[in-house]
This record gives sequence, C-alpha cells and structure tokens, in this order.
Amino acid sequence: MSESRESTARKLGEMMREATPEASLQQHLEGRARLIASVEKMRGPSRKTARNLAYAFVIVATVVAFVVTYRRPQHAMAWHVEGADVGAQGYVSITPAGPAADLVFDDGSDVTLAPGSRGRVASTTATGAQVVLEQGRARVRVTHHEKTAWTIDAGPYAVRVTGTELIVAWAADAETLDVWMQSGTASVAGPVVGDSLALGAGQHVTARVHEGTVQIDAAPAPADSAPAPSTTASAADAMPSASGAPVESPSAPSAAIAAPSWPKLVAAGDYARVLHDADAEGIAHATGARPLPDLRALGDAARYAGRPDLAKKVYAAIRTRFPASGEAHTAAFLIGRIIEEQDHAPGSAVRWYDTYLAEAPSGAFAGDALGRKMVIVSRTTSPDAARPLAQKYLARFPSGPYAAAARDLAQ
Amino acid sequence: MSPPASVHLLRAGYRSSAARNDAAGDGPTDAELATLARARDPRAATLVWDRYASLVRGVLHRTLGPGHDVEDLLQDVFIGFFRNVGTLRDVSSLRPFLVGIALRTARTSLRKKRVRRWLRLSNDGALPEVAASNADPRTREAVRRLYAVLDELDDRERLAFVLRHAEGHELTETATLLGVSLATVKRVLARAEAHVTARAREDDLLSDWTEGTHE
Repeated sequence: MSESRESTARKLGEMMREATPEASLQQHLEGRARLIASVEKMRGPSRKTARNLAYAFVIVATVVAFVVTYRRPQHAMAWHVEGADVGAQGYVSITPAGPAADLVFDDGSDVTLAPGSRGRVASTTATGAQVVLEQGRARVRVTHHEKTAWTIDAGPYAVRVTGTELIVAWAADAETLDVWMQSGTASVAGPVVGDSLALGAGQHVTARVHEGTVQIDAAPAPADSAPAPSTTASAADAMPSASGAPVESPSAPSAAIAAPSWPKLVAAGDYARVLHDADAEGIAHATGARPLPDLRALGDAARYAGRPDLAKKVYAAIRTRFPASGEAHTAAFLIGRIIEEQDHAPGSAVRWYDTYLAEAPSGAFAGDALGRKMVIVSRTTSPDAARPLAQKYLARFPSGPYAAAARDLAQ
Repeated sequence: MSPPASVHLLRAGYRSSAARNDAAGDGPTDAELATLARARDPRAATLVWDRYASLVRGVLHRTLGPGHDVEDLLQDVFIGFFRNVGTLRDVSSLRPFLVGIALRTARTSLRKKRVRRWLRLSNDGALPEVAASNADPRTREAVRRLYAVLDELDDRERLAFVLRHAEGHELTETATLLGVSLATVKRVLARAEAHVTARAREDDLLSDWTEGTHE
C-alpha cells in the first residue's frame, strides 16, 4: 500500500517536473540584469548613508555612556511568604481547609494564594516576577512602576500584568482558566485565546482548553476565603456568577472597553479578535442582531481564519436578514466557493453560482461564478457539456482569468 | 600564500552554465561563489545567477504551480541571498541555503495567495493561465488538477511533497531543507502522500497519469 502510494506520488512528481516551463534566454538575461542592478544598489553604503551611520554611532555611544555612568545597578526583587511555609523546590501549598497565604514582594506587590492552591515564584527581576500557579486561585495586586513586568503562568496560559489587581484561577484537571479583573488592564496568552487577549476592569474571562471555548462576561470575583477550584471542576463551575448561572449575555460589560469595530479589525488583519468577540457574544446572537457591516466582517474573518462553517452561517444570515442588499448576492457566491473548496460538493456549489448569476448578472463576481461553474461542469460532467458555458464566458469576459481554460473547452 | 578566491576566479574564468555542477572543476566552487558574494564582489551576482537561476525558478514553479509569474519571486530569492549570505555558516552549503530561501519565499507567496483567493478570485491557482508550458491541454488540465489537490495541503505538507517527489530530494535532505527532524518529515510526507494519492485515484485524468495510460 505504502509502496503503491510512493509510486503514485513519484509519478505525480514526474508530471510536475515535465510541466515546468523552461525560461527563455531573454528571461534569463533580463533577470540577471535586474539582479545585478539590485545587488549594485546594495553594495557599499552611499555617502549619505555613511553620514547617517556616523550620526547614529555618536548617538548610541552617548546613550551607552550615559547609561553606564548613571544607571544604578538593579537587583532582583526580594520576596517572602506570610501564612505558609515554602516547601521543596520553592512550592507554596495551601491546604483546602487552611487560611490563605501571601507572597509579599519588595516593590509592594503581593499575591494571595487561596485555600487549596499551589504555586511558586519562578523568578524575579528588578521590575517584576514570574509566578507559577499550578492549581487553585491567586489574587494578584501588582504595584505599578514605569517598567513593571509581571507574569502569572497558569497551566498553558500566561497572564501579563503591568499594574493592576486581578484574580487568576486555574483548574488543572478541567484545564480551565478564569481571570477576574478588578482594576487596571492585563492580557492573557495561550490556547483558545490567542497571543494576546486584552482585559479591562470588571471583565471576567473563562477559557476552556478541552472545549476550545472562551467566554467573557462580568461575573463577580470570588471572595479570598472561598475555596479554590478543585482539580475536577472549573473555576467557573465552583464560583457561579451573580445569577447563579454561567453568564452568556452578549451585552455584558465585555463591551465596557471601547474596542475597534469588526470591519476595522478585519481591515487590520486581526481576524482572531473578531472571531473571539463573536464567540464570546454568542454566534447566534451575533448573526441575529449585528448590523450588516459587522456580519460582512465576521464572514470575512471566518473565511480567512479557516472557519468555513461559521462563514457559511454568517452569509446565510446576511441573505436572510438583508435579502435586498448587494452583500446578500455576494454571500451567495461566497457560499458557493466555500461549498466547492471546503465541502467538495460541486453540484451544490453550482446551484449557488447560479443563484448569484440570477441575482447579480452584472455583479463583481459574475465572471468568477460563470468561470467556476464552467470548470465544475467540465470536470464533473464532460468538457462537451461545459462548451456552451465556455462560449458564454468568452463572449462576456474575453480577457477574464478563466479565458484560457474557456478557449481550450470551446475549441 | 594562496591567492584570494576572487583572484582564483579571475584566473579560472567562468563559463556560464545554469546546469553546471560546482564539483565539475572548471569553474568556481560553491564555496568560492559564496565567498565572492560575501565580499560583495561585482561578479558574484552574474555567477550565482547563471548557476542557480534555473534551479530556483524550477523550485518556485513546482512549489507554486502554474499560473504564477515566478520571475519577481526569483528576484526576491536572489536578493534575499545577497542580503543574508553573511549568515551562511558553511560556504559550501550555498545551494541548500538558496533553496531554503526559495522555499520560504514560496511559502510566503502561498499565504498571500490564500488571502487573494478570497479577495479577488483571479489568482486562486485553481484555474491557471498556463502561459509558458508547452504541454498539451489534457496534461495542462491534469497539472491544474494536481495543484488543486496540493492546495488542500498545508504549506509544510505541500513543500515536503514537492521536495521529495518533484525535486527528488532524499528524506534527510527534505527534512534539512524544511528545518524539521527526519521523524517529522516522515509523518508530514505520509499525510501528504496519503491525501494526494487518494485524491489522484478519484480523479480520472490524474489516475490515467499515475497508471501510465495518459499517452
């Protein structure tokens, strides 16, 4: 089986080699001339560049001299534990029945470990510390200085704090992170939430690794004396919100912090943020209540980020809620593309292309819809069946991207 | 005291040949070429281009598939080479160094292509304008279908497949060029081969080709 697979792959590789076009002599010479010109530009700094480099050198040397002369040596921050002992390898473990313990730092910051928690100070610098929360819950109060840099590692998550008060809970077995923001700002990085999820005062986030979900709401923080999340239940389960149930309200204060609009985020390439917001809000709510520009942005974000099912859902919502809009017609075409590429259902894709062509015969994607339909018919039925489509395509789009294929078919 | 590499090159003279093997002995070795490039010798661009333009063009073509104008990318690869040749630790490794840059350039292009595919569907790789190929329409269609299948792989799987089966690299070379372990490249290749061969078997044109009945 493996040998046959290898042989098939080798033949396909041979096909790729045979299909590689040879460059003409003219192409080769033109390319060489271009390269020589580019490399010439790179050779040796110009007089102006040399002068700029000299200025830069003087500035850097001045700054270095200043720093060396005036900067006081900085030592790693000292810390001690109040209310518990430091065990082997620096661990501080609090029994479920025991009182909370404080890790007190010289800069005035402190970390309170709740009953049932276990953590350690991994390292300290002059401006911050790295505290590892292996299990349980910690209230973190960081005194803000100019270069404060604190990190709370909780399982696979890193919570970066620059001067704030927050509570972090990590349930190791349930692989669930909870962060309640009391004041200031912080960011969370790790599975599901991405590289940097910014949080502001009053927000609560729950990230469940197993389920791959993130929820942002305004659930109140638990009291310090409350037991930390057990190893078998998530922090959110252990500490319900004010209503006693998980908060799913899309209008919860996650919107309290002014955030860029979805179209702006998509334009900036931040698809993950849009998807994260939509997940936090609830997809059903977002597709049912968001305005048209937001839905268009969400659909784009879903496509670019590789969530075709969500994209289809969003485009279907656009067609249902805004049937007369141009976006509704475009949505038909895009649904067709997703079905063709992701679902590999050419028949269904053709129906969506037909829908688009009927709704927007002169639309921006008319050529593409007709071209894709032609290709599918050629592939799934026969080149003969695709010939009328090819002729139609050539008549309408003689220089279109599918013109070469259409000419092949029309012959 | 032996003369510097540049002097040696002047004496040896260089016969332009894109396919010449650097071990043939009648021109500069790769190490000498790399040394010239590092020294910003004015002849380096011509020499490196003449030797490797054809190879790198082929790698780009086979990685990206038809419908791509690779000439600009080819320039990017060589400019990248001259910018970074100072970081080349082993000067005799010029060829894999250059191919590595080509792979990174191709990978970036594939990423851009994915975005363009949705923004403007004229460069989706699914139905290319096969401008330069001399192949017959049936072969062109088979190639187009093959690249449509490769588009379904992730970048690493695609590069591994191309390096192994189109470029003919050994597994260890493929692993080195991709910057992964041998075990990883085996896993990646197994996935890529399983997918591509399964899809090829479903396709009448591709299966004709793989069963040798295409002519």
